[in-house]
Order: sequence, then C-alpha cells, then structure tokens
Amino acid sequence: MRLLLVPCGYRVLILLPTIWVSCVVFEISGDSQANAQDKSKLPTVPAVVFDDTVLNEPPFDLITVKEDAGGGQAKVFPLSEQDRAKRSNPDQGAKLVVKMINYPDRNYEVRWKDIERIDFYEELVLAQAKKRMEDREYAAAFEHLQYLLNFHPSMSGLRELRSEFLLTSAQEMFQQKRYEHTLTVLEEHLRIFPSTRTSQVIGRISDLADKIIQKYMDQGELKSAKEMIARLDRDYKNNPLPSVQAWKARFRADAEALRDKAIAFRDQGDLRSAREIASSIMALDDELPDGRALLEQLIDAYPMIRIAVFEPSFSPDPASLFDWPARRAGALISRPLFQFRSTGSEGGQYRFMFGSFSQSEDRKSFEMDFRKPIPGITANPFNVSQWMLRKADPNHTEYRASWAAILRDVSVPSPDRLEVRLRQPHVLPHALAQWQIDELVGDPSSRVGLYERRDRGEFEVSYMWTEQSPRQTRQPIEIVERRYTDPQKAISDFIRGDLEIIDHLYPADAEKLKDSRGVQVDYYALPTVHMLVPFSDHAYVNETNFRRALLLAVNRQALLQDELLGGRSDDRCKLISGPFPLGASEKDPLNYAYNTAISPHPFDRTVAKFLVELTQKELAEAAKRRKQPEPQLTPIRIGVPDFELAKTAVEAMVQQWQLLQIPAEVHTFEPGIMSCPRGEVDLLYVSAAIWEPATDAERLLGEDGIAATTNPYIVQTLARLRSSRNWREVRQSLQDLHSMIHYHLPVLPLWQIGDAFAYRQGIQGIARQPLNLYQDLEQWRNLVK
Amino acid sequence: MNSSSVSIFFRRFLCVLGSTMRASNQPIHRGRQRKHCIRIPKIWLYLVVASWSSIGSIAVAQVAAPESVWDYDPYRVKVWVSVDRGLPLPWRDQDYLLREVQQRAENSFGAAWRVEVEWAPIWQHELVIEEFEKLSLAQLSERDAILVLPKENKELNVIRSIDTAADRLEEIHLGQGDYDTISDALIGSEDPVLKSFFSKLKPSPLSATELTNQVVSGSIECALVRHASFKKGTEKLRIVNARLPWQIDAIERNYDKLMFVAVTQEDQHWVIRTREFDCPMQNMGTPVRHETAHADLLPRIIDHHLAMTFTPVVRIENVRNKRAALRLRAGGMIVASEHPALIYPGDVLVPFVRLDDKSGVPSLLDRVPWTYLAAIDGNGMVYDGLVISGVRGGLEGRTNRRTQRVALRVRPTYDSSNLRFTIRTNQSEMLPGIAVYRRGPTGGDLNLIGHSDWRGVLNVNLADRSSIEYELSNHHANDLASIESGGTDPSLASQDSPTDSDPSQGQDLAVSSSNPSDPATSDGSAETAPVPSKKPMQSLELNVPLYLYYVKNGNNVLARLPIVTGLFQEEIADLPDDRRRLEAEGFIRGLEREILDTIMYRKIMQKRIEKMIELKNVIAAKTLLAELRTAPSYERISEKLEAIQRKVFDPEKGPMPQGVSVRIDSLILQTRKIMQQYLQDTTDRSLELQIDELESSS
Repeated sequence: MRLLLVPCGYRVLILLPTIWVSCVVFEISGDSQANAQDKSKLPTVPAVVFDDTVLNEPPFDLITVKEDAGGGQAKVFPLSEQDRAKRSNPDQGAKLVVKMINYPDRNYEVRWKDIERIDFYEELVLAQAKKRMEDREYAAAFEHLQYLLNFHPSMSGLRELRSEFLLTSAQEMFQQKRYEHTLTVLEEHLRIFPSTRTSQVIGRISDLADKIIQKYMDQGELKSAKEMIARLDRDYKNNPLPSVQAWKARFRADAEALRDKAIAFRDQGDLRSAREIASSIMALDDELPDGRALLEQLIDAYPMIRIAVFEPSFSPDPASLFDWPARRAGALISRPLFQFRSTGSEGGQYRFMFGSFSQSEDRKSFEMDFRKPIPGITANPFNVSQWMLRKADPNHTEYRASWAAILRDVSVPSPDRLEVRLRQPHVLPHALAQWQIDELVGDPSSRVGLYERRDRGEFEVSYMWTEQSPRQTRQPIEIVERRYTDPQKAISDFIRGDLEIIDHLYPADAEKLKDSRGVQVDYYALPTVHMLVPFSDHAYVNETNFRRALLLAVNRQALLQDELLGGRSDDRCKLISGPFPLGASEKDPLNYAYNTAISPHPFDRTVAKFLVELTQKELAEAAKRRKQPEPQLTPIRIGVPDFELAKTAVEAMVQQWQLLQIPAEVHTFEPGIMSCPRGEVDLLYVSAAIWEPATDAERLLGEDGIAATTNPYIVQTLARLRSSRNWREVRQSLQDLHSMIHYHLPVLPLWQIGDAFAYRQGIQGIARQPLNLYQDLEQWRNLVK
Repeated sequence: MNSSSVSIFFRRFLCVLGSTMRASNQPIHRGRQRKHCIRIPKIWLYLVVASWSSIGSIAVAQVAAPESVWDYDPYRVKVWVSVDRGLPLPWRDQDYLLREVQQRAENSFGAAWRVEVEWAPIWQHELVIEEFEKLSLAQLSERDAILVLPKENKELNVIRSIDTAADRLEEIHLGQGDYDTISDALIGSEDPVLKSFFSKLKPSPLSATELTNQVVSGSIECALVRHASFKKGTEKLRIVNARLPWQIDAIERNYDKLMFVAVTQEDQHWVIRTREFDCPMQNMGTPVRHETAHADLLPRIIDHHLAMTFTPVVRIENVRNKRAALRLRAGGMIVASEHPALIYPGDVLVPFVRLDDKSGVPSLLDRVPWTYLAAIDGNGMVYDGLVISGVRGGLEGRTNRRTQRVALRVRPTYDSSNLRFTIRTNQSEMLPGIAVYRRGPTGGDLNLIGHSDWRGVLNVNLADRSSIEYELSNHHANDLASIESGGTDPSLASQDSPTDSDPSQGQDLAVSSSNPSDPATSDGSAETAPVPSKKPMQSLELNVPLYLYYVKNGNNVLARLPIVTGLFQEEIADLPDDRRRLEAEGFIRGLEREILDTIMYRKIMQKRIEKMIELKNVIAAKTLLAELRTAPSYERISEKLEAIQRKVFDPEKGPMPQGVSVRIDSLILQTRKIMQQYLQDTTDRSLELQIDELESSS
C-alpha cells in the first residue's frame, strides 16, 4: 500500500512555487492530522529518480521503506550525525524523525524496522562518480569527485576511486594524443599517490615527456622544449627521467656540432655564417664549454643584428606618415633634411642634418646654417635652395603643395647660410621639409644613410655598414631584416636566439613576451593613430551618414579591448574621435591637437541601421532627380596592409557590418604595400604617425595626403591652420579641425595604438622609448648576455 | 529699290570699283555666285563713302547716320614688325618684308582693312622682342613723350595738346636724346603743327628729372620727358600727352588695331609671334606663335597669323531679354563668305564697354565681366546674339554717343585655363576647396569638375565645343530687318530710357541662394533658361568651348561664371568673403547630424519603453527610461549650438563681412527649429507617468 499523504492533487500543486504549495497543502490537511503532534508517517514514491540531477539538487538522504511497510523511497533532509551513526545498528523499535525535502516545514516519522536501507547523499554521489567513469564521462565524474573531495574528503573508497580516476582518464587522454594533459594528470597522480604504481607512472611520464619535447622540436618551439627539459630535470632530480636525459645529451651534441661548424666557417673566413650559427649554440645549450667565448669572439669579429619584421620596405622614407616599414628602413639608408627628434606641447624638436637652424622672432622666416657637412653628400645653400624652389613649383614632379603654400622665397645671404621666407608666419615651417636627402643628391650610388641595402632573397634584406665613417667596436656591421608572415614563428625564433629584435609586436604578444628571460619589451615613444580612409567614389561611402553608420555599427571598444589587446587595458591604446594622438594621459604634450571635449562615436547598431536606410533613401531620391539608376550598396572593399593588427581589426569590423547587411570584403595588400591607387579599394586602413599635428594634419588631409579631401569645411579649416601665426591659433585651428572631422568624417578614426618592440638584452644602446627602431643607431652595440 | 537692295548694290559696287583683283576665290556670301573682290584704293574709298552719304539722303535717308559708317568704315590697322637684331633676313632689301606683308594683308582683308605695315619704333623694339607675351599698354606708353607743365601757372591750363603747346609756349625743353629721336622721326613731315611744335623744342643736357624739377621751380615753363621718367605723385605738375604720331597714345586714338609681329630665331628655326592690340578697347589679345625653318615663308606666315590674330569687332545694339543685335565693323566692306573679319554663327564674342569723358578720354573702359555673346545668325553685317552672362545687367544700360558697347570675337589658344578664386575685399587671399560644376551655356547636365587647390586655383581642361538652345525671336528678326533697311535703331531710340542702368553698375556675380543645397536647382536659371514660350527652339553648336561654371562653397552657390576654356591662361573670380559662413555651416551641419542621431535614438528608446509598458514590465521600462534620459537633451544640444554661435561671431575674428551674419543667423534659426520640433517634447515625462500609473495599478 502506498501512502498517499496529501488529500488533494499533489502532482498539480508541486508545480507551484514551494512555499506557496506548502502553505496551501498544510492548510488543507491541517484538520485531519491535528492529533499527530505535528508528525506524520513518511510519504514515499515508488522510486526516486535523481540520475543526472544528484549534484544539482540540495543534499538529501534517501530512505527506502520495506515492502511490507508500504515500500517506496523518500528524499529527506540529511540525517543528523547521531541518526547516521544508528544506521549500522539501529534500535528496531525506535522511530526515525525526518523532514522531507518536499515538505520542509513538517516532521515525519518512520520506524527503524520499516527501513530497508538508507543511502547517504555522498554515497549516492560516489556511486554516480563510478558510473560516470564506467561510462567514460570523465568530466562529469571529475565533477562528482570534486564534490566529494571538497565536502567528504575522508569518505571511504574515495582515495581508491581518485587514483583510478586519474589513471583511467590519463589513459583516455593518451589515446586521444593529448600528451600535455596526460602528463599533467600523471604528475598529479604521482604527487598525490607517490607510492602507488610509482615505477609504472614514472615510466609513462618519461615517455610522454619525450613525445612532447619531440613535438615542440618539430614545431620549432625550442624555447618550450628547453623549458620543459629544464623543469622535468629539476622536478625529477632524484629520479631522473630517461627521456629528459636523452634530450639533454642530444642538445649538447647538436650544440657541439654547431660549435665545430662555426669554428670551421670562422677558420675559412666566413665570419657572417660563423656568427649566424654561433648564435644558435647558446640557444641549444648555454652551458656548452667554450660556447659563450666563441660567440663573443664572433660577435667581436662580425657584429650582426637580425631583426624580425612583418612588412618589407620598398620605398624607404624616414618621415613617412603612414608607411611603417618605409619609416623604419628609411632611418637606415636615408636621412631627412629636417629630422623629428621628440615631441613637445609647442611642436616637436627637429634637427637640421647639415648644421643648425633658427626661426625668426616673427616666424616669417627661418635660416639654416650649413656648418656640419655629411661625408659624401654635397649639400650647400645653393642646391638646397633650388630643391626648396622645386618643391614649390606646381609644374615640377617634386612639388609638395603643403610646402608651396607657405614658401614665399629663398635667399643665400652667405655661402653657408640659407634663408627661407614665408608667405605668413608659421610655427613649424621646417616640419614640412622632412624630405629625404636622396632627392637632393639625385645620384643613386650616393650613400646618404649609415647603411646600404643589399637584398638577400624574398624574405631577407641586409643593410651593410657604408664605411663612410669609422665603425666602433661591436657596432653592427650588418643589420638583417628578416620578414615573417606568422608573428608566432617570429617570437619563437626570437626566443631561440635566431633573432635579436622584433620591430613591431601585436599588443597582446607584447604583454606575453615581457615575462621571457633575457628579453626586453619596450614601447615606441609615440603612438600610431589608426583610421579608415575613404578611397574611392563608392556612392555609399561618399555619404557622411553612411560613414557614420559604419562607425556606429562597430563595437570598437570591445574590439580594441578583447581582440587587439587580448583582454587587458593599456593607457597607450585608446579609442579616438579624431585622427590625432590622444597621448597616454591628459598631460601628454602630444595631445595638443586633440579636442578632448569630443567623445568617440558610440556603438549603436540601431541608429547605424537607421542611417544606412536613410542613406539608401537619399541616394535613391537623388538618382531619381537626375534620372539615373539608383545606386546599389555594392560590397565595400577594404584595403588592408598585411600586418596582423590591421587584418584582425578589419575582419572583426566586416563581421559586425554584416549584421546590418552592409556587405564588405577585405583586400589584403602584398607585404610591404601600405596603399594602392585611389579607386581600387573603397576604404583604406591607415595607421599613421601623426606626431606633429600642426603640420601632419596637412600631410594627411591636404592635397598630397593619403586622406586628401575636398570637403570644404575641412579644406577651409586646414587653410586656417596653415595661416595660424602662433601656437594659440594653431591649437584652436587643430581642435576645430578635430570637430569638423568628427562631424563630417573625411576619415573614420578608430584608435591609437602604443606600438611595442622586443629586443634581446644583448643589444645595447637602443634608445628607451625611441621614435623608431633605428633611432640612435650609432649607439647600438652587439653584446652577449 | 528697298534699303536691303541698296546695301547689296553698294557692296557690289565697292567690289567692282577697285583696281586690284583679289586672290580670294570664295563664293559670295549667302550662296550668291562668286565674284572677284577688288582691293580699293583708299582715295576712292573715301570718295565713295562721302558720295554714298549724299546718295543715301535721296535713297535711304537713315543710312547717312554715323551708325552706317561703322558698317562701311574699314579697320584702321597698324602693323609693327620687329625682327630680332642681327637676324639675317634673306632679302637684300630689308623693307621687302614690310612691303610683302602689306601687300598680302591688303589681299587678305581687302576693303575691310586700311593697313600700314612698318618697323616697330626703335625705342619699342626691345620691348616687343623681349616682353612679347607680357606686353601691356602701360609698358608701351612708358616710352611715350609727355609735356610737363606747372599747375600753378593758370595761363598754361589751355595747353591740352601739342598744337596749343606750340602756339602758347616759347620753348619746350627736352633731353638731347629725345630731341634727336623726334628730329629723326619728323624728317620729311610736312605737317604744319608738327613743324611748329618742333621749332619750339630746345635740347638740354639735363636729365628728365632735372628738367621736371626746373618746371616745378619755375625756371622753365615746360619740359618734354618720357612717361617712364616722370615721377608720379608730383603734385605741382600737370602732364599733357604729346600724342606724337608714332606714339602709343596717338596710335591708340587714331587706329583700331595695332598688330605686333616679332620675328626671332630659336634653334635654327624662325619664330614668328603675332599679337593684336585693340585700340579703342585697349585690349591686348592672346599671342600666337609659329615656327618655320624657311625664312622666305616669313611674309606668308605673318600674313596668315595676322588673320588668325585679328579679332573682328561688333557693336552691341538693342539688348533685350538676353538677346542683342550685333553689328559687324566694316561688315559692309566684306563680300566673301569666308573672311578673317567676318563672324559666323556659333562664334563667341567678349563684350567691352567704353565710356568717354568730354575730351574723349575713357572714364570707364573694361571688359564686361563674366559675359559673352554667342552669334546665332546674321547677314554678314548684323547678327542676332545670345547674351550668356554671370552678372546682372552687364550689357543693358544707358546708351549715348560717348558710350561704346562692342564685342570682340574670341578664339582660345591655350590647352586649359586656370580658374583662380580670390576674395573680393582682399584679392591676396585665396579661396581653397571651392567646388566647381559645369553645364552648357543654356542648360544641360551639371557635372562636378573639381575643387580649387590651396592657391584657390582649379585647372580646367579644354572641353568639347558646347551647344546652345535658343528660341527663334521674332522681334530680333524684325530688328535686323529694320536695321538692314535703315530703320531706326531701337537701341538709339531707348538711349535715354530712365529704366536702364549705368554700365558701371551691376557687376555683382549672379548668386542664387534660393535652394543652396543643390546647384542644379539653385542656378537662378531665369538667367539662361528660355522664357516659357511656344516658339520653336533652335540648337546651335558654338565654335568654342563656352560653358557655365557654377562656383559653390559648402552649400552656397557663390557665382555662375561663363568661361571659354583656353581663352585666357587664368581667369580670376573675385568672390564674396564667405568663409565665416562656411565655418558656421560646417559646425551647424555637423551638429545637425548629432541631432539626427539623438532623435533617432530617442524614438527607438521610446518604442522600447512603450513595449515594456505594454508587457507590464515596470522594472525594464524604468531602466530604459533612465537610459533614455542619458541621451543628449534639448538643453545640452542647445548649449552646443550657442557655443558654435559664440565661436563664429567671436569679435576676435574681425568684422563680419556684409550679409554673412544674416546667413549664419538663418542657419542657426533653421537648426533651432528642428530642435524645437523634435527634441523639445514631453516624451520623457509622458513615459514616466505611464510607468507610474502601471506601477500603482499593479
């Protein structure tokens, strides 16, 4: 006979919230049970089903009633320790008072003699764990075990089950070739049960270590392999793993072979090859006898620095605004007439390459003094004045509109002085004359920079010391730029010792590399500002509302934070509302152009959608007025230079635009190509070095600029900037320009990025937070560390 | 015989009368059978014109009026030939070149020209050779001699020319060099005035400045000095143009055209450059250059280039409804259907206005800005012209005997033209970023051709020839017939009309702001669009690329400029200073976009909140309402607008150009209306009440 305890429909009421149910149930049953002294007979169900939910339910104990007493099972609140103790030897005549899970406000009684068995909650969990292990559901089994280890660590059978679990799951992982996981599990087993199947476990660990190290070696991850060997060697000092010892011997043998090879090259006089090989010796075995000495000797003989780059340079230009590789390589083989040295609240500091220069009080002229000749370069006031005039001649190929707009005339008051007079006062006229001296020299055979280029195949370029001036000890005789397509491979080679420098790190990688031994990660002094530049006559992209929609449709903050910065925050990397650097803080002198009152466009997909529809409507109406076909929203082609950050960012943006049915496709340029002819893409991803907004605004948006615009508001504000007579006016004009750009979007500002680079500590003399990698190249020295 | 047949008769008569057969073998105008044209000796021509005047009184009385002389008065042309010194001409007699050019020019132009070909005066020679492309009247006049007289001596005020000078003065002092030059020039002259004048000249060893100082001090009564050496600003002196026959000031008065020919050599090639100076309008034409390796071809090439360089002149009569009657100078002297002095349908002419004072000195002499005339049809003497203008009232105006309105045919010689935009009140200020659109002179599609660069310059490439659409006009046909028949010239009839304006007025560039956002609809098309009419429209292709260029700054159309591409190397448009308005427009248009976003955001949020209220979800509705309240409010945007207002009206930026502040106010008002309409609502409050109501009811 089953005990039906509740006079009315239980199954219906159970559906209602428990409290409400309890109140109602006992209100109804109160009269009939008034004499029970608040105690009733235990209600049961035929069989409690808890299979998948045992861990999800609040702890309970399970009472199974004998068949002759009505049978069935009941879930009760866990018994007290006293009652639990009685289970093994109960007083058959006594009654057990319990509270049912479903009726927590009432006590029930059941006689011990009517109880067939009591299952404690932990026993049920343990049973579940065993079952899951049998079913090879290791994750679920682990969950159950974890519970028991937390709450019932001393439970009988748990220890054995745990050992069994570790070994079984290790076996499973091994079969799935998840060697790292298997190793972790076995090491865990060894740690917890040091005396259980010890030799078997250690043997398995050794095998696994061998497999893992081999895998690292196959993948070229020497650093990981060496780290693993070092760790295992350390952890199993008393019980060395055979495989680890074998690997150590192999590395030593390889290092010795390399050493011998390097010595052979050295003896043949091929110092470059010897040097190249020798740097790998230390990476393989830094304890090899004579290894360090040999390396030092070869570095002395042939100081060479190898740099990982991700974009080759085809047109070196040390003052390029948006071409990172051109700027980098330009500093090696070229020099600008005026060189930007550092930033300041009233413009940057510049160096005149052939001597000194000074600006007049009224800022209407500046004078150059040619008293510091550069060997091998013929530069004097006469040919430089002609050069300046050519730059201002609209009919000349060297014409620069931004320069022509300020130049009045030039004069040569004496053979070593050149005076430049301006149309109107200008705060930084020389900043517009950061032209490559190569143009002045005109002779391709002339050596303008410290180094000269020598191609060494598709992925390598060497820059050799020109020997025009004496080279100091350990000053690099050769700088090798090795191009990588995979940043991880570059990092691996860098760690292995095949590289001394990585010139441009993905922000998230920079953070990871900081922990590596012997590696220094530093940031460039000034950030780059990233933006999308309209680059065609795409009917939609030409519409300001549509461009706003493109910005509003992308969650740029999340993209920057999660995708580009790997979830961390960095003061150097921020969203921007204009194409000027925001700097690292409010006090950063670099932000003199940035109008901090303007916030970046917010992320608002709904408004973006509305703006797309509005644009569609406006274009349709305009076409109808002109009796032309309505322009279609064709896929927006986005030109992206081949570097990781840009590609990742643009791919993410394209995905977000597609949510609004804005079709877009990514056109990745060939390595080293930063731009393309106008019209080949609709938007161009540009990372620009706007380090001198007072003049770079013109270089960006002016007639020669990559983002040249005809928007009358921008053009007029640029004209006002050009005619600003002092820094107050310059700042005001730039901030107005920022407002206009924010409103009319001739470019779509995205974010500023503090770019990082890494170098081995053996390279000394690298400027702290340099403007570009090769700043102070004269100070570089190649040492062994 | 009607007046038309009189005219034809007269033209035939002129052809038959001459003694030299013309080389031309062209058919006679209007398809008549070709006749040989005859070069007319000058004396005969004078006799004919004089006798014809008297015949006219019998036949057609009106023809004797001075207007008739215009048609039958040949161009008085002087040709100055300058051959670079030392160049070996292939003829022993160097004057052969002059004679040959003279003869060929007479053959080419026939009765339409009365030409004198001579060497350029020695003192102008270098200038012509060296500065050919930059020649100007001012430069040429610098070599002219002038009389310098003391202002204080009232008795000498009567001296206004060399004859009164010769009559009143005892001595005229001048430098020895100038004396020798004049002496050489007067050799063989029988002119009694010149002889008398020469007799008063007294050479002096003093310089021009010293002589001038002596006049100031009263030591001498009068000095003759070169214009260039006269120090301007000498308040105590009065100058009188000597107008000696070889001087520019005399040629400018006595001739219609002065043609310059410069012959030089470059890289073993002869370089021939020709250029025209229209004397009455003081207009220097564009130079034409040709190279040849054969010196013996020089006369032929010069003649050919004289014809190329020469610009026929028409007198503008009866301007009405953008139409004008154009009377061709010496049209009556041309009988060939193709003639360098003729104009043809499709030709484009540039008008000039000259207003003389009582002594015949122009008080106003200028090209009518941004205005052209297109010849539509004509009979070889009078043409129907369509006025294509970017200014208001450029051609209309009072007409009297001292006012001349003429037009010179244009022929582009450059591959492109630079449009330069400057600010009217300060022409050294350039206007960058100006958008320029192009359309046909009388309509058609409007196409953006570019923006001005930092210099305010836009280079316009040579375009295809343009076409015009015009309606056949009865009244002009009547006018033509009337003029042809010797009827009263309507322009003369209206010469004292008080409704007409002075030609010096109405120079403002036509600007429309009716709907500034779209030049296609804001072009003030009344200027060019045909008046609604049932009359049939006619189309004509112009012979030059004349187009209308719409100049737009931001959303404001600043000007509509008719331009013949390649006519001038540079066309300068002085535009109103619109920069402050553009700055304001830039900020306000930007703010309007922000307002649009806000309106959209508020609408979306409102819908979401209403949905939550409908679902009786008070908490969600309240959360959304709180979010809605973070959106920019009317007050916040209003503050921004006020900040823009303060910025653009900042007194530190200097005085606001005329009319600009009204336009800026209008922009601000427009924006404020949008704000009031869409942002100043009670949505927040209304939603809040609905939520409260829902909360209390539940």
